[in-house]
Amino acid sequence: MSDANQISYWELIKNGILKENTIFKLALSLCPAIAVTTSLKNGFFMGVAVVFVQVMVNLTVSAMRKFIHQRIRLPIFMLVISGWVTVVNLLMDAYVPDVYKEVGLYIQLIVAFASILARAEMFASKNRLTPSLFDGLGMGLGFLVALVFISIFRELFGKGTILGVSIIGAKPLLILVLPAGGFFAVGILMALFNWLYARYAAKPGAH
Amino acid sequence: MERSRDQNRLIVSTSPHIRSEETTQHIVWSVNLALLPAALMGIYFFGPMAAAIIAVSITTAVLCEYGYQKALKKRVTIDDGSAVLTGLLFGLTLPPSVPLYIPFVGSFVAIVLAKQLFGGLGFNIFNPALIGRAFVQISFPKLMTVWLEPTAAFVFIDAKTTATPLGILKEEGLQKLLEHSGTYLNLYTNMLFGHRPGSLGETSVVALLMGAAFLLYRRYISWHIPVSFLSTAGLLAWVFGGSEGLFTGDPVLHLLSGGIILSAFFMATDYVTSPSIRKGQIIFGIGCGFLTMLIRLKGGYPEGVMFAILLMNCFSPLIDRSFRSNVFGAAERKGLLK
Amino acid sequence: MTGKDILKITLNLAVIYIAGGLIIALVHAATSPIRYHNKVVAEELALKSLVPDADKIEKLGDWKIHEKDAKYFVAKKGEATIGYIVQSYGKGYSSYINTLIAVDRDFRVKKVKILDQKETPGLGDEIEEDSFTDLLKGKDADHLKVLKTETTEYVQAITGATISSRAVTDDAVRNGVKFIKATITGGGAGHVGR
Repeated sequence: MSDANQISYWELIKNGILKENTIFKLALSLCPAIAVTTSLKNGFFMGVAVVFVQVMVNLTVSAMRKFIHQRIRLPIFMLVISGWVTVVNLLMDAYVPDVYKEVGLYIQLIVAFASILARAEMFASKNRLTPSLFDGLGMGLGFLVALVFISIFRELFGKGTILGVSIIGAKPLLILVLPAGGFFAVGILMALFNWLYARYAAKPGAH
Repeated sequence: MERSRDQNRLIVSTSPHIRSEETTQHIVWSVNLALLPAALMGIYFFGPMAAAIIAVSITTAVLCEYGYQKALKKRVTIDDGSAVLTGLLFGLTLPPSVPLYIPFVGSFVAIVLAKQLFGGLGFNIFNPALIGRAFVQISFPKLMTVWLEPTAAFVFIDAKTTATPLGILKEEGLQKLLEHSGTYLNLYTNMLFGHRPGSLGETSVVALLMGAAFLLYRRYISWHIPVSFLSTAGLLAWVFGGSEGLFTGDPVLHLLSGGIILSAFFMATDYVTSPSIRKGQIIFGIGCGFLTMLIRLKGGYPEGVMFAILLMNCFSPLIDRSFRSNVFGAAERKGLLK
Repeated sequence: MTGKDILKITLNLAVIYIAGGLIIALVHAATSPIRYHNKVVAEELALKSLVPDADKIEKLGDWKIHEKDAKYFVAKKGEATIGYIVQSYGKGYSSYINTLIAVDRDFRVKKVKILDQKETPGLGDEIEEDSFTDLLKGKDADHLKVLKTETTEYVQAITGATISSRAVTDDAVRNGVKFIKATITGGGAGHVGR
């Protein structure tokens, strides 16, 4: 991983979205993935918050990687993460108050995301600024993309709307916006993602 | 040859008792037969729509099983009757007023999500018909709470919508329920024969008991689960079900209403999703009865058997294992003491 | 661990705390007026939408229901009192339902607004819709009662969501109306059932 400059930046982003997708491939952070995806708006802003935190944490850790003492690197990473989560928490409360009212609790929970700490430890603390930026971007976007797909699926089929605008005109499968249906939705989309990914990866020339 | 080996394996894995002359297929078709009287009574009371609902439900279940097994290039097992049974059981739990896409969606969920995705017959943790029922209950809460007055005439007429006896009992109390039918005797006879609002196949207690008696006589089901289930529910109904303090409840009324008879004999006894050890079956039945009454008396829904059985399904493997390991543990302790 | 290590660790932590603290303080300072503004404006708008013809809404005091703090207001047009607004809570199926109730001078409901609820999506949350809250309009405390049968004199329950309908009508709104009536006509804090 230390010779990341040999991998192109595009590869780093693709890695986060496809090969190591937080939700669909690693099955991490499923709690917020189910809790906030009842509407596209909530899912999207949660994803944006994660992209922001992941990128800023990666940048901070990468910039300080030579300065941080090995013995306390994990507490330092946690401090950095919680600092940036507090920032995004304040920003969302100020600028998207209606979304914050519903997903605020899960924004604060980003502190405990395994994927964010894992990228800081495994990638950012060993790589220069630019690769760390793209790695953070890729991992964050992977989460964002997954959340957007899940919430489109759940909002469309659970409430019959997209972004609050009525598309179907009825509530076809109410269960999808309830927690139990959230598991169904994540499971179905996870299966679909892996099926498509397996076909894509089997093609010659693809990674 | 491949085939008979599979069938033997199924019997061994679902039930530890030697019944070499019985195949899974034979048992499952017998259960279907045992449900027939209840289905016919449902059609008699609620009219041609009831027949359509059951037909859609069974057809969808069979087609889904066939389609899934074909698509995944597995051996097609629709002739074992288990898809028909799931479809039939699911159809019998539906209110007679539902539009026909509800049996379609529910049967699809029951067969594909609750049964085949877990690996097919013998591997599902939850009773497929009940998962289908829970799915449509949560997805279409309004349609699933419209009940029809039984017409007992095989014609298309707009039957009056009404509340189920359990609904009335929960919302307005026993007095209101008595007003509807006059005397206690009338009330009990109506409920015994199935002349009451409710799900298609749950209302006719007599027809259900006939089927259950047949299955018990042929030893396809054992008495342990139904008896512990119903007696626990009855006891709790008597102790806590009354409006004038403890021990004033009406256990008979609670046992005759809702889907408790249908569920206790035909769903809780499902080989795959209930414990196979006798002691475990009694624990399972007590748990079902307790949860049913907890939901009926204290919960938000008037009827609780569906969630009660599904919750106890989770515990089946655990119950089985705890009773097995007890035996091993006892032997071990003895050895240590020596 | 050598002295050099300890020094470095101390320095690490000091830098992180100072830098982190600074950034958070800056963001907090920059967003704090906006967040305050959001809350005040949201409350004012909610109050205003309940009594659109009032030009002044003044807080009268606080009261408690279900152990929760709630406020009540008087709505004035010029110098004349045209109604009252009372905040109230009802215990629903899965949450406490936070409501604002506007009443006229005869203590009949003018309008009800659900501020916050976490009832079952698709069922209980229909209490937020106008089709339900409009049913409460014009009712006095004696007629704020949910029935499962068809009714216009009382309030008809939402199909499949009797508990949530009751929580709003029989609990939050009726107790709120009783309270404001007792407080205004009786002069002091009146007694409210439950």
